[in-house]
This record gives sequence, C-alpha cells and structure tokens, in this order.
Amino acid sequence: MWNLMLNDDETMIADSVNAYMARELPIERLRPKAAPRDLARIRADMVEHGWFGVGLPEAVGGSGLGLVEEMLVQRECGRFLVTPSVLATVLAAHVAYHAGDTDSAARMIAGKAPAALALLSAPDPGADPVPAYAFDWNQGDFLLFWNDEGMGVFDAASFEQAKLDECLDDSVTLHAGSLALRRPRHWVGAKQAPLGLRAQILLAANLVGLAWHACELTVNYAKTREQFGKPIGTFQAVKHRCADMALRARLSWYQTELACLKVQTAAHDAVLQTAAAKLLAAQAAHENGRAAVHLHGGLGFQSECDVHWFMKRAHLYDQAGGNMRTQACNVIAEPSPLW
Amino acid sequence: MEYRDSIEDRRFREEVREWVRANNLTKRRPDTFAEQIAYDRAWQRKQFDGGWAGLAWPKEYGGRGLSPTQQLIWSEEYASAHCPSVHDSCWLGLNHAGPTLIVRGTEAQKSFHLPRILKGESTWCQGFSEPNAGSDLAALRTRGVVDGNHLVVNGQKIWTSFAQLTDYQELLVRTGPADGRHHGLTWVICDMRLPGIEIRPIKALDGIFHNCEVFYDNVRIPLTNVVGEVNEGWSVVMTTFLFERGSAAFGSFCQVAEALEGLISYARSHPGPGGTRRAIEDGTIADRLGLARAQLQSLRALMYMMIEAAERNIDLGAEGSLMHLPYTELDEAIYRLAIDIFGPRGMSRSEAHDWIMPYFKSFSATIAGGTSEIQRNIIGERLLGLPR
Repeated sequence: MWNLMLNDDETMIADSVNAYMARELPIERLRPKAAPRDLARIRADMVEHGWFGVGLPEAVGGSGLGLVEEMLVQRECGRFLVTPSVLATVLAAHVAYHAGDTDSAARMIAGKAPAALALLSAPDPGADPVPAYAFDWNQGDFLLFWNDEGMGVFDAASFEQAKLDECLDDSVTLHAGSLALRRPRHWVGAKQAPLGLRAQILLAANLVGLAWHACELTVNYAKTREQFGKPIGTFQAVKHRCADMALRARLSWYQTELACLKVQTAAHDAVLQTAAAKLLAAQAAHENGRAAVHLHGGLGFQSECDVHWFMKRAHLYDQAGGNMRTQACNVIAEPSPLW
Repeated sequence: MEYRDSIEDRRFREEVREWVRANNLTKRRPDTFAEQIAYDRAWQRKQFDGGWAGLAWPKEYGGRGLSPTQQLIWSEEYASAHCPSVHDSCWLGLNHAGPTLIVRGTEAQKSFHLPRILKGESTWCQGFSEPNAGSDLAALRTRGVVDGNHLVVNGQKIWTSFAQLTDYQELLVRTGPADGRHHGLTWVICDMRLPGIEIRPIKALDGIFHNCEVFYDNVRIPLTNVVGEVNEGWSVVMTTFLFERGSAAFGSFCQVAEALEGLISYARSHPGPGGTRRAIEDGTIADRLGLARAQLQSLRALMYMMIEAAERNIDLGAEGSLMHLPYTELDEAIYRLAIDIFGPRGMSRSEAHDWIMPYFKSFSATIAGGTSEIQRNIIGERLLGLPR
C-alpha cells in the first residue's frame, strides 16, 4: 500500500523549512520597495541546514536522506518563490556525484559552486551551440540542463554571448545566450541514473508549493475583504473558485507524493506517475495563480500585491522539463498504470 | 511516506483474482427491468455464496470485515475482470441502507434486513428528495404522524431511483414542526408494498425510467421500522452520507479507471473522428486523454490517503469528503471524450451503447448525493473556513 501521510520526521523537516523561509524569505521581500535581503547569509544558512544535499550521502557532505525529504524542501522553496538556482544546484550535485566527481558534488552542497537552471529553445537537430536561457545566473555559475537523454552540468564558459534580459517572471533574472551542448562538464545518461524523474518530482513539488500558497493567500483575502457589507468569501462565485483552488493544490500534491514513492521504488508506472504529477502540478499552479490575481480584484493587478509572482513562476516551471502538453503526451505514451 | 508490501495482501489479491475470473457472469446484463433485477440478484447471490458479500460490513453481521486496503484490492480485481457494474439494483442496500442499519438500526431490524441485503433477496431505494427539497434537503415536507404503534405518512418524494422495482425504501419524513429544518425529521424503513403508496416512473434523458415520483396517502408504517429515534433522522442521514462519500466509491472508481484504459486502447487502434489517422494522433484528443489519465491517478492517490487514514484511525475531517466532486466531474469528462473520439459511430446507440449510456448517466452523478455546487460549498466552508 502507498502510504502518503508524512511521518513525524518528515513533518518536522517540512515545518522547519517552512518556518525558516517564512522568517527569512517571506514573499513580501519581492515588493518594489522592500528592503534587500542578505542573500549570502541566507545561502550560508541553507548550506548549514543541508538543503543542497538532502538526498546525497554523508560522505560528500549530504544528509543521506531520500527523494521524499528532498521533495519536501522543494515544496517549501516553491511556496516562498525561492530562486530556481536552489533546485538547479541540488540537481547539479546529483549529476556531479553520479559522474564520479565527488569533489564538485561536495562543493555544490557546500554552496561554493552554484548552478543555474537553463532551458533551451527547440533547436534544429544536431545544432550546436543552442539558443539557451538561464535564470538567476551569475557570472561564473554552472548551468544545469536536461532532456530525455540525460542531465548535464555546464561550465560558465560553455554559455556563450550571454546577455542580460528581463524575464516574464521578474522575481528572477534572465540571461539569453548559446549553450555548447557538446561540451558538458558532466553528463549523466538517463539509463545511468533517473535524474530526469527526480527533477520532475522536484519541479512538481515547487509547482504544488506555488499553487498551495496562492490558494492560502486568496482564501485569507476572501475571508477579510468586504463588499456589499459582507466578506466576499460568502459569495458562491468566489467561494467555489477557492474550493477549486484547494482541490487542485491537494490533488496535485497527493499525485506528486505518489509519483515520488513510485520513483523511489522503481515501480512499473514511475514514468507515467511522474509525468502526471508534473502535469497536474503545473495546471494547479497556472490556474491557482490566475485565480489568485483575479480574486484579489484591482489590487491583484498591482505589483505590490504578492499574488502575481505565483502566476509568473508557474510559467517558468511549466517550461522546465517539458510543459503541460509534453507531459500529457508522456502520460498517454505509457502502458496502463492499473493494478 | 512509504510503500508497504504485505504478503497477506498479495495472497488476498490472488484469491480475489481467481474467484472473479472464474465466477464472472458470461451473459451481459439484459435490457428489461424484470430481467435486470433477476440478473442483479443472481449475481449478488453468487458473490454471497462465494463469501464475497458485504466486504466492508463487520463479520458479526455476515460481512467480510475486510480492511480498506483489501476492499480496494477487491474493487481493482473486480473491475479488471470486467464484472457487472457495481451500480446495480443491489447497490443502495449494500452501500447505503445496510451500513446505516449496522450503525443505527435495532437488533430486530438488523437481523431481518441485513442477511436479505447480503443474499440479494431484498433491494432498496432512497426516499429523501422532494419537489421542493433537493439540494435543500432540510426543507422536506412529507409528514409522518405517530398514531398508536404506527407512523402515518402523507406527502410526496421524487427522483427515487427504481422505486417501482425495489422492496424497501430509506424514507425521511417530517415528524416535528413544519419549520423545524434539520430538527424533527425521522428515518424510517418503508415497505414499498404497503397500501397507500403510488409510484409514477419518470422517463429520464437516457430513455430509461430510472426515477420515480412516490406518493404517500395515509401509509401506515410500524414504529418498529424507525431507525434511530423519532425526530432524530438528520443524524441518521449523516451516517448514510458518510458511507456514500467514503469507501463505497472504490467500486465505481475502479470501473471508470478500467473504462478509461479501454478508451485509450481504442484511441490507439482506431481512426479518430476525422477518419484519416488514429484518434490518439489528434493533439487535442491526446491532450484530453492524458489529462484525464493523470487526474484519475491523482484520485487514486487521494483514495490511498483515505485508506491510510481509515486504517490508522485518523479523522481526515472535511478532507475525507473531497472525492465526490472531482470524481463525478472526471467521470462526465471521460464519457464525453469517448463520444468525441467515436465520431459518427458515437451517434449509434447500438454500436456505442456501452459508452452512450454511462455518458448520459454521468450527468446525474454531479447532481445526486449533493450537487457539485453543494460540494464546493462544503469544501469552501468546512475545509477552508470561508464564511457561510
């Protein structure tokens, strides 16, 4: 039987990450006039907590835990709109570890070798270098990219003609350039280790975090904002959209948990369940982001209202690792997941 | 979070698989009501004789007392062997009336009715909705007046499924003041052959006379048929709903899951509505099939949650009744998708019978047992704490 409820240890991990981020990385930090955060100290705290190496062995500086714990940390990262570079660095450490470069893995876990998430524009087959977009990339950082064939870490030098651009999700920076695919620092084939599935689970967890937080903020607003002499949450038109938000957040979370266990046990339907998780989590994040903006009314359209960030980040994480359309195709290409 | 494999569960699955494959009926369910009732009863009797009746019921009442995990395993193997629809004329007795009697009935009521339900000897219908009490069930007006040892009932019920074919009714009447709302209701077992009952079947949109109007003209029901106390019927109704929104859903869930897999296989091997390529190669159809398959899996995950909570005695609260809304809406979407995939063939009632009939029926699923709007109110108010 697939037990999806968190045990005490798992609950403690999720709660402690949540408490830290609520204190140090509240989403109010993204408001136009918010005081800047000491990101170097926050990164040091994350290293101290071990969040870059949750699922890697203690020998390389990891925590020796599993995908479940890694997923719980990433769900909170999504909830608090943490930079995608945390996810990218976590995955890059796995790549380095599986490629046998334990020194690099240890440096990544120790926060000394950050990696940024890179997405590629659909290139002509065989083209190289390929138009690429890197998010929250800083000069010198590694880049992390994966496709169906495997996952790679690239040196900054492989990212050519990088130009700073503005991102649809303006909580992150975007560099557009060209990635020399033939020159990865490390490349781990999909057959060697299912890092692509791991990435999808962690992305789905981030997307669930977005959907869940968007729902919470909106429900709280619907309870307090009054129009026509009563809270807008009394109106069914509002209440029912909130109910749908809650349902999407919960169902996509249960699916992500199930997929996580399927990957961990190498179940026959692990690929299907993972694609389903990414699909439903992306849908939940998109639709909850949209509903959150809408239900906040005129306020929701303003930059100082926090909810637009969820809508924007949903687009970024939907694109990463194959968008909803791709996931639907992946779900349907697999054999029956039934008993 | 963990995956736990148990040898007992695996052995149990093998035992179920062997039984359902060896005993599944080879004949299709017939078309006329009289034949259907006989068919349903025979199938129920066969399950009873095989020791497979009342899986969730406690052993002391003739059930199997299976764990929720084993109930799910049964439902999975049952659906996989393409056994008859669980939504037959025995469903209400097994999943509604029986469980309600087990929790709230008297010893006499239990010892009379429970074995009959398990053996397929008696079938049940529901008598809750009225012309002016649909979603607002507490507005019901059918009167029950205590007269000596009897409850005398006058009034009208509507949308009662198969009233014309069933033996007993779970009847909810107002015994207290007219404006009492949830107070002053009484849940009583009504024998459908009592004098003063008039049944008028109504033709539904699928052409079948599912639903009936039932009129009560001085119908005298013995007070010994009252379940719970007089005027305490609302709490009995809540017991009934608990089952309907809980594990009773496993059976139909697994059958819809099998139906969707059948549809995906069909779409892989047959041309789509345009006729030039396989249905699955149509991007829109692939998208919709992929989403439906993913959503169905997420409901499976929700089901695992519910099972784990039940086995560990954890009260999920409002979270425990999340299933109904997404399940009924997905059910409707899947059958609608089937009709779209079949194209012109989907117009033929003989060629696409097995898809058209459940498609039509899916329209009732988002209404019966609490409309989708009522379900959203429940989620909004009880799960999210939004004001009423």
